[in-house]
Amino acid sequence: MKVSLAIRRSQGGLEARREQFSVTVRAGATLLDALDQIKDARDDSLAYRAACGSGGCGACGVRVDGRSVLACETPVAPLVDGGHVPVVAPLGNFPVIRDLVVDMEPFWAKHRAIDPAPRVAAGSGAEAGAPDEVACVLCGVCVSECVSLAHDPDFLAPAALAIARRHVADERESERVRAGRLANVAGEHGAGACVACGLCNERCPKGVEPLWSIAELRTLGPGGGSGGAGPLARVRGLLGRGDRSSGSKLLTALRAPDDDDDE
Amino acid sequence: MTTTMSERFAYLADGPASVDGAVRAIAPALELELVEVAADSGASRAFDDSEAALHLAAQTLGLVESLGLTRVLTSSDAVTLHLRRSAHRLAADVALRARVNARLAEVGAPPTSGAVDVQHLVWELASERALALLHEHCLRPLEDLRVALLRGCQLLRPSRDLGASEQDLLRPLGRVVAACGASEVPIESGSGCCGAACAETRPEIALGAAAVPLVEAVDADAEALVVASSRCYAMLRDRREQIARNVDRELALPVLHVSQLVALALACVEESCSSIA
Repeated sequence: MKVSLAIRRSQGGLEARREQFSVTVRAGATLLDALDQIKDARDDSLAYRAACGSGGCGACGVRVDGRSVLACETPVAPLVDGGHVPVVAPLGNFPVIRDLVVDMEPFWAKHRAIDPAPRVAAGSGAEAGAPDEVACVLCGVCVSECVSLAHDPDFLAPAALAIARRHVADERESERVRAGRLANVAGEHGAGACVACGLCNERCPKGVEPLWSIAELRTLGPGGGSGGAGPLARVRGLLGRGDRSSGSKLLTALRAPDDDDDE
Repeated sequence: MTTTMSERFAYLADGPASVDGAVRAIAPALELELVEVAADSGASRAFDDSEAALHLAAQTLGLVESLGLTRVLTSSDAVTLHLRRSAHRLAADVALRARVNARLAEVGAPPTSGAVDVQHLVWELASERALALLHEHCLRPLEDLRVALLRGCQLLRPSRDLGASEQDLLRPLGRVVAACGASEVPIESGSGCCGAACAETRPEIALGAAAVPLVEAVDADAEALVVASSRCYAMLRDRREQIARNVDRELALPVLHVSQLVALALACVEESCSSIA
């Protein structure tokens, strides 16, 4: 099958240009296969990032016609249907190093800022359940799509916030550690800066739902419904919270003590 | 003449008064029977107080069911997403539903089964039934009107929670606009975000996001920006001067809620559009 791609290329801060390549790929080929073919057969100076080729490492994120994807998981045939020539560009919201390669350092800085390692004592056992966020491969696709990040480059952004929510939900961690985690994501550039556009959920190639992770962090955080309490005290915190009600009987009842919520 | 049964909905009048007026004005021609339900859906708390938001949604759904209704109509994208997601969670999770219904019982509110179909106005307007009526009653086709569209992010995403593919969710607004006789001027940010969700917490982000569709619509020589959600409408209408100052642009472009566009085409009520700038 013959495919043509218009690739956005740039180098060293020079103005980007689109360059069109046509190659022949096997049936069932992915976008990454097509990029490999272009590099092998047309232009070995083309720069892009890839590693495992099976959706596990998160290295090959790019945008196709404005939509962020993992190249190794994206079949190329539908992209070129009807003779369409898709535009392949680097991930959005990242500085571009060259061609399709972006500088991931801002992403990793935010990852470090939320303290990505579990803070649990030896012998604490396994993480209970399997939170959705475990599936995150740190590819940056959600970050590429993030509307808030486009308007606030310091926003922690969906990937880091999703990982933060994973640890906040980890009942092996102490309340003190959890409170610190919630404080980390509660600032001006934290969870409250999300515009809730849902692009992160929609584009995540692994089915992680950062939007709902962020809502959870906002609820649990200092400005949220549970008044900053951790998950173990969540219900109690919600019920005991100060005046946020609109005076409805339901919200009043929600703040009343509940004997079923002993922890 | 098309003869159809009226479609009966519990109606949440959760948008600005001008949108509510337009919805009520177009309802008879489109054979929508609206049973107003005065309830707080909880959507405004969905991202900051998820537990309270769920309970408020359940209270709303229970009230709807107690009226013998099975469908809800709203003009807000945020209310649509929140109520649909809440209804799905409550219907699917027996333990959750029991816990929430116990709370509702404490305050004398009727329980919910979660089996309520939550529809956004634009989805209903884009149904074959409503489009046929719109064609039939369109007294003033807006043939010279070139409009850009903003579809409302929470009417598109997360599609898993909305129950359709994002591609399918992109279509209704364009279908309604076409039925009114207007023509769409494509803009890149038509499926983007107006920033309303963080207008209070991070106004600079919200204003920056809101400017994008307005600037693109002006640059594309659109004569109006038509929005599907009453929330986007309120954001873009009420904060337009701030938005324009923020990007140092003249953005004197009328913003129409889809109900107002339909009201114009039906020539059914001028006052429903009196707030159009």
